Amino acid sequence: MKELREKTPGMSQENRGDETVPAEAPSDLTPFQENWIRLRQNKAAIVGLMIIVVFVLVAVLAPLIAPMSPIEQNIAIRKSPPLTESHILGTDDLGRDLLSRIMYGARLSMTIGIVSVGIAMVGGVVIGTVSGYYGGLIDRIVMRFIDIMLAFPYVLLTIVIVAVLGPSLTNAMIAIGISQLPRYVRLVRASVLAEKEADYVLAERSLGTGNLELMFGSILPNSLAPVIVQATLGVGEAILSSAALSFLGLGAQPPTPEWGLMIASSREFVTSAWWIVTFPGIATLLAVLGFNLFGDGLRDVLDPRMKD
Amino acid sequence: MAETLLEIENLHVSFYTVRGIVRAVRGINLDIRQGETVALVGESGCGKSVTAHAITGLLPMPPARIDAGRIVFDGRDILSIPPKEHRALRGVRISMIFQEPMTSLNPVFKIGDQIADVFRFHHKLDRKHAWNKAVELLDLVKIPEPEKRAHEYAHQLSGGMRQRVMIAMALASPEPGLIIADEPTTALDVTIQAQILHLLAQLQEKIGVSVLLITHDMGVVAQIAHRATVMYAGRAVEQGSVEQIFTAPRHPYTKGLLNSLPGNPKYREARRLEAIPGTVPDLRTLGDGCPFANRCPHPGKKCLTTFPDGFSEGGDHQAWCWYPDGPPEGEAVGADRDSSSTAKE
Repeated sequence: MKELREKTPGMSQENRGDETVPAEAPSDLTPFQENWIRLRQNKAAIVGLMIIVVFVLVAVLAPLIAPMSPIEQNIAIRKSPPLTESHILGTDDLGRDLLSRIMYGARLSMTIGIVSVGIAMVGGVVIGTVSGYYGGLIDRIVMRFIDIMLAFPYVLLTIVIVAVLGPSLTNAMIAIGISQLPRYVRLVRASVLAEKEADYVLAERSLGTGNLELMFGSILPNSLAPVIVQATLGVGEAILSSAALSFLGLGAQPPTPEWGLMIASSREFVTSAWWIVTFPGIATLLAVLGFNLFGDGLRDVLDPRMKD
Repeated sequence: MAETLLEIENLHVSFYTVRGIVRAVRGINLDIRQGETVALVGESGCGKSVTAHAITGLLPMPPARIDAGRIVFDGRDILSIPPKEHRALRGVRISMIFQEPMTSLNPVFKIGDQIADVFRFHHKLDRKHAWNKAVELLDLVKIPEPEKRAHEYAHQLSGGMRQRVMIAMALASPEPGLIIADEPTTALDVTIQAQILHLLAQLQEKIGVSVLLITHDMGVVAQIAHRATVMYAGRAVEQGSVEQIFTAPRHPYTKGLLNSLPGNPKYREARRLEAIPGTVPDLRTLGDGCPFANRCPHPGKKCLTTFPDGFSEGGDHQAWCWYPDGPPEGEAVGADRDSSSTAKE
């Protein structure tokens, strides 16, 4: 290429600047920057993001900022109402500091949310991409299997999987991940089906690009937007599901400070000591709300139909 | 005479669909020499893109099937080599430029990265070298400020620039031999079209690649092709140098096409362009006769039953027609149609 150019000096100068993009085009923004600017205009999404950030910070810093140990019992001060001495949110039926337990609970909830969505997303994306890309028999088998999974009520499916694996927090995460997987498969398959017909796929194929590279290098990045939205909303749902599983005794086991478990073990005090069951509930609600608000905002930003 | 790079012999391609067998290409013969531009001309659905995709191995199979024929590239029959070896030719010796520059670039990657990927994949260059090569190529296809443009995404470029990027990608192959340009200028306006054609011709001269130009536009053929094959309903009807085809067309279809060009001198005073009457026949029900018979100004009885043998007009010039000058007395079909004929001079 180099020698070619040297042979014909001046050729690179002619014919130039004849079709430049208008100057007002926001040409130096990457898609990421562009989306971020649009996201910032959505107040609800920003509130959601702030809630998420707070919960993540609390989760990460729990050992540093929690005033007390989450599992240390003190029968003498059991069921103290909020603002008793140093217990801002009061204590539970075994005298453990509620605020500390909720802070440590954030660690668990965030982990559960991210890990189970991670399992669902990675599995769903791989299965959905392959199924949508190859089509045919593979696609039909995969989709019928997904249909079967979707025929089970979500909670029931989760409970069945935990029941098979045995009740523990890890197994709860796996169960939630598997239960959420079908929706990612469908979502990704649908986008891949549409994208694989695009001209750029044919163009890249004509350059000798192989199937794997086409699937995961070219088509997938174009199909990810709905997955990102679904994943964000899915974290909230996973947190809720794990709380439900723990409430039923199928998730975290005592004395783990898991929010659902905390609600479950204190539900008999709901009339006598309302705070023990209320604060973990509020924490769950806030975390799920944060992810839902942020997910909705992301959907508005990433949905191609909303773009100008 | 330069060496032959690509030779298509008697290619037959059909699509086996639920609604019947579509015989898209029925016996095309074509050769492209080194450094030559050959045009494949015809209207939509005549089989020109199918021929191109058969060369690149991009035909969707099924429903498509190659029923017969050979495509010899670089001395190898590429229809009989394993798909893996065929794939190894793509982007290395054979590249393609597509009709829609708007959608032929991946929207989520910078154009510089897309070109650089070709270098990384085929030349095994590292990221930085590949990027520099990509910028160099953008410069070669005359994109202003290539360093800056390389960082942009497809949607930030105009149609003409995107087509330049596509050309750059085709040139990124290690040993460019054949570039198949499938209607490269159809989506562009006329001034940009001229620039792109000029660029293609210039690059071809410098790099010495062969170009198979697929188009429905006789004007484009006249501008940059050396030789042309006129296709109609899956068959080649006339073949020859561009000069021969434009100055002495022999097949009534070619005559009709040239006759309907707005540049034709006889339109200086006229208010309407003349068209070839009728429409393209259904490829599923087409018999063995000449496919053009139902639109031909002077069909003969033989035309309805048998596809004509080609006759040579000197040199490369060939036409497939029984009666290029009209059938003899008594052979003509529907004498009344002769009076309404428009394409006859």
